[in-house]
Amino acid sequence: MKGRGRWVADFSESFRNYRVGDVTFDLFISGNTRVKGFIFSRVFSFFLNPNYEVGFFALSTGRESPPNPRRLRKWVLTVKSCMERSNMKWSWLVVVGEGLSDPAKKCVQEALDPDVGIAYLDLDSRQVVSADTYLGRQLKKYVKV
Amino acid sequence: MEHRHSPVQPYFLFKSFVIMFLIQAVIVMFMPMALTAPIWYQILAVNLVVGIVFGWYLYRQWYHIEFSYDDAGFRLRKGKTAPIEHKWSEFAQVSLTRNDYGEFVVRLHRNDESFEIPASKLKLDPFQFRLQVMSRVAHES
Repeated sequence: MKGRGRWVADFSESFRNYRVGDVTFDLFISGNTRVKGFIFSRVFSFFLNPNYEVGFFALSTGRESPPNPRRLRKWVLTVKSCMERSNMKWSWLVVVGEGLSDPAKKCVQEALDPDVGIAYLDLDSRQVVSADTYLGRQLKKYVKV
Repeated sequence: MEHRHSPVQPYFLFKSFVIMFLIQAVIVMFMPMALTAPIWYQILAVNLVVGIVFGWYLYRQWYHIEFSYDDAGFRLRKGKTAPIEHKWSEFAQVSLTRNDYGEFVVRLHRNDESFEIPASKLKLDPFQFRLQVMSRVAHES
């Protein structure tokens, strides 16, 4: 990982190889949208930022298991179950894979869940495809290869 | 092979010293001025020495953390409280958490419960230690 980060939330807990049922996310980090810091940061955050619990999930797939509607639905449902358990308002799901077919691209773009921002990151073409939702479009801005 | 970690925590040692020194300072404040004024520096010296000795004692009683672990489980003891022992196999997930003070804690999860190992206070590399714990939890479970 290199380059500069961009503030999206104050993440405080990270899991690696996070298992939920039969889905294992390579990375899951959780936090909230309130900035921690010294007095001014806290006051500023208290008045301007919502206090939402948020999560970020990353999943790597091989060439043999690119996203398809069935798999993507399963991943999103798993993310939603985690969100429900932790009272999260928003989540981001980044799927990292090699190779991007048109059906896979279409399937990611058509994942229109407003609470889960989804992006597919193709390591071969260094292309990022995101769902056509607000969180998905924002995620595309943050993710750089 | 058992690993042991029980580093001295300077912040809590200093805090214990300050507590003990202030207790003595309050006592001296209520003593008659005529009694304390001629031996002001001696009293200060005694207070410092007593503060250091009792501060160390207080630190050992309340704050000092002893942590030991091996392939099967771990043992954590804070101050003179009863040690807490667990097997790695009792836990299903491992996470790394940063608290409000910027300290890292390795959190072990089982069902709806969790147990925290204060990695930063134990002067452990939190990222490496998390990986070690993950491999032990995965191996034992």
